[in-house]
Formats: sequence, structure tokens, C-alpha cells
Amino acid sequence: MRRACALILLAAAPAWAGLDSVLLGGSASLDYRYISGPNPPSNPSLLGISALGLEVAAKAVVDVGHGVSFTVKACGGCHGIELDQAYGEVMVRDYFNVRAGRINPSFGEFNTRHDPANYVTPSKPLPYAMGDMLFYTPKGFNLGIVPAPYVENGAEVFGTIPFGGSVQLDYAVWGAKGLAGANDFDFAYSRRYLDNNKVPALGARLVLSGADWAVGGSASGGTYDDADRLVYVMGGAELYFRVGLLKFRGELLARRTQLDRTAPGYAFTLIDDWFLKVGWYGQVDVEVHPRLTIVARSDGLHRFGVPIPGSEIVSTSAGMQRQTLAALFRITGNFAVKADYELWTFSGVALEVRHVVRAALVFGY
Amino acid sequence: MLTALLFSLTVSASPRVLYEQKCLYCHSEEVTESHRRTPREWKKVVSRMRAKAPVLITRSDMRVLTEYIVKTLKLVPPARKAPAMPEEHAPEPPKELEEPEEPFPPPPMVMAEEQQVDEEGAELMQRRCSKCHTLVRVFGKLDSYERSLFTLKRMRLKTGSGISRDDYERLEAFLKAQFGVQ
Repeated sequence: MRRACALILLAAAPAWAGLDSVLLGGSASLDYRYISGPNPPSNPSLLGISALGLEVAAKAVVDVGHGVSFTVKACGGCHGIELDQAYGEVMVRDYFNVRAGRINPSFGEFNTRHDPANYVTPSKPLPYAMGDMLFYTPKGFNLGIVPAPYVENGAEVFGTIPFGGSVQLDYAVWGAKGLAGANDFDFAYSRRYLDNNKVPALGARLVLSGADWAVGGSASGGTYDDADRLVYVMGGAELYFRVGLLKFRGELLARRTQLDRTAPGYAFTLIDDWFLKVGWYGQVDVEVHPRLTIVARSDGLHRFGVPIPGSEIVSTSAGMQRQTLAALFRITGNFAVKADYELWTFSGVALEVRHVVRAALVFGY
Repeated sequence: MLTALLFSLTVSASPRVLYEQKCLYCHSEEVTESHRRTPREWKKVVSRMRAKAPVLITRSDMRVLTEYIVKTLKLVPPARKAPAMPEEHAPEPPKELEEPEEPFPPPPMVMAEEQQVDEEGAELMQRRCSKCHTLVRVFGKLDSYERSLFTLKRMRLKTGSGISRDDYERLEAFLKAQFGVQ
């Protein structure tokens, strides 16, 4: 029902306000991946998505006037059609603005460009990975640090403070229902419309930027279980700079998640009732031609702490590293082909090296 | 890597690249190069396309694109030969056998100052937008001054956009120039 309402809202948005004040956008990404080695049957597969995936999205931004706008974005992918964004925004001053509703709260740099038409590689960096990560289920590494898109119901105050010239400090402070799960996170459960507990999550992001560089950090925390007993805290640092045709992006994210002491089945005696997950990526984009961008990326995800019950990871320190070489070829301004080769290696866990080749057709308007 | 950089720097300034970035943004070569038109008609076509996407095809691009299509791609009708006459009645061969080509009326030159605003604005827009946008689909949306300014304001206030107040003012001037807003 909610999904149907979202689509109706999206479709009807232009009619409310007149087409001149509506901005429409959207994307579709058809993504095929080949994974070397034994591929267990899917549904669910420890390997994650092992063949063809499709993501579609449609967005409408209605300019109501006087700095007020309303945004609705619906997307469809692994979990069917969902509402990614549905919020009102008031632009008051450069330094003070508000958005509220179903938002993508500011956390990390990649989340601002989570749409497949906005990133160059076919895959997301591992700190933001969900089902497109190998061994992503609770039996494996159980997802990245933070979902992308990170969808929340809440409110955000944001703005920018100039420091002279091109240097400025952007900030965002938000409160939202928070990520959710039982004993570790469940990103799909986190996207539900009702909060699963009473304590809201808080977060913030600060970015200092200049002409062709930016450095920043994010932080967030809250409780994630239904009973408001289990606490999570996460943070990140980001760096971006551009030199000529080279763009460098790097992020380091970490999340400390409290474990449920009352849950049965831990492989070890639970002394510290938390685990730490650290993820990172660094990538260089080279626009060798206006139509062709080549990317070299190194990313990883490491988990420290007692594995959750039922996990096939039996070490208190286990991780994955990935080396990626990717290319994006723009056929037109709206249509592109992405391809990459990924080398996956693992540490602290008896998993074999995997070679992954991915190709994607991306359309954006 | 260095070769690729140098290659890219070399081609980025050429009319060919401008043609690829602007005309082939929306159309395939099969479409753009399927018709031969007189220079005057090409001028009208480029002008019509600019009216649809003024931020993509700037005032300064008009002249370069029209000249490239006419003079380099030569997408103009073939010059017509004068009809052949029987040999016995053939007069002395005229000096000019071919009909004179239609004079090329390129779009008016823009002032150097205007050209600078166009070039710097387009470059700045590309630089700032490409921080987060991979495809250059942004140009397709900016089809009116009001819509463009609204989008620019929203994007500027995105946390980490890197669009400073100074950038905003320069881009606003660029948009005004492209849409003919005083």
C-alpha cells in the first residue's frame, strides 16, 4: 500500500505544481557479474548476488517557491520498490536550512552519490556494500558499515559557512529513527517506516572544502534493537581532491556494535560484548577522454570481535580486501557502460580467492 | 598514464571534442550526420538545439560547432556541376564550372569577455557537477534560467558539494548569460 502511494505521489507530483517547477530525474542500471569458483545456489547465497541485478529509480523535485521544495524518489532493486526519499526542504539561509521526512541523512561521502548513475564503478565500495558484497549474509560478514542508500525517517539541519575565497565549512546535524536489527544490523529491517525502538539516533557530518579538495568526517549513534538495549556508534573520515584529470577519493569508516549477551550460540565466551567493523576505500578516477573514465580502487572490510551466533566466520579477526580496475564509457550524456575486474582476497577466514567480472548498462535522465 | 593525460589535454580543446560533448550528448553520429544542409540551415539547427539546452551549448559554442559541421565534417550538399552541353556547341570552358557555394554565414562572434564567461562558466560547472555526477545528464535538466538557478541552489547546499559562494556567483552569471537574463 505504501509503495503504491509512493508511486502515485511520484507520478502526480508534476500535476500539482505545473511542469515548470518540477525537476524529474531517474536511472536504471542492469548489472551482470561473473564470480569465479564454486557458486552455491542462490536464495539465499552466501556469495550474494551472483548473476544479473537491476536497479531502477525515479525522482521528482517540486519547487514550491520561496526556498521550499518537496522531493520524492522511489527505487526498485533487490527488495522490490521502496521509497528512498520523501521529504520537504526549506532553504532559509546559506548557514541554516532544514529537511524533514524520509531522508538520506548525511553520513559519509559515498552516500551522496549512491545512485548507480552517479558512481563510476559497477560496484559500491565495501563499507557501503549490501547484497552485492561476497559473503554478505549474517553467516558471513553481515553487510558493510552503513547502507547505501542510507534511508531514514527524521529531520536534518544543514548549511554552509564561508571562510573566504573558495574555502567553506559544510555541516549537517540530524536526528532519525536509526538503524535496526536484533543482534547486529539488518539493513532491510532498518528501512521500515516505523521505528523499532524509542531512542532516536543522532548524527552529523562536517566537510571543509576548497576549490578542488574536501576533507570531512561523520559520526552517528543510537540503539538498534527493539528493546533499546544495544548501542551502536559509527564514524568516518573522508578525503577528496582533484589534480588535473585525476580525482582521488578515500574514506575510512568504523562501526562499534554492541552484541546481545543473552543470545545463545556464541562460538567464544563473550567477554567484550561488542564488535568493531572497519571499512575503507581509496580510488583514483582518470578521465582519459570526455567519454572514458578509468578507475583504480582498493577497498576492504575487517571485523574484530566475537562472531555472531550462526556465523561461519570462526575467527575474532576476519576481513576481505578487494582490488578493482574499472572503466566507464559514456555512450551519450544519458547512457553509459561500466565494466570492472575485481580481485577478492580474505584474511582470518578460510575462504578462497575470488575473481569477479562485472558489466553494467546505466541509463540516467 | 602520462601519455593518456597528454592525449586527453590535447583533444579536450579541439572542435571535435566539443562536437562530441555537445552534439553527441543527445544524438548518435548516425543522426547528426544523416542530413546534409546548407550552412545557413546548420546555423538554424545549432541555434535551435542551443535553445533546448542553453547551458550545454553556450553562446561561444555556436560558432565552433557550426563551423566544424560545415567545414570539417562537410555536411553540406555537394556542389552542383553545370549541365553538360553537346561538344559541337560547347562554348569555351568558363572559368568557374561549378556553381558558387552558398556563402557561409557563421553565427556572430561573441565578445572576448563574453567568451571568457562562457568558457570559464562551462568549465566550472563541469568541474563542480562531476564531483558527484558521473553522467552529464545535468545539462538536460537545465532548460530554463529559473530551473537552473533552483537546481544550483539546491546542489550548492548539499553537504560537501564544494560549490562555494564565489562559485555560485560565477555560475549564476554564466547562467544569466546563456539564458539572456539581465
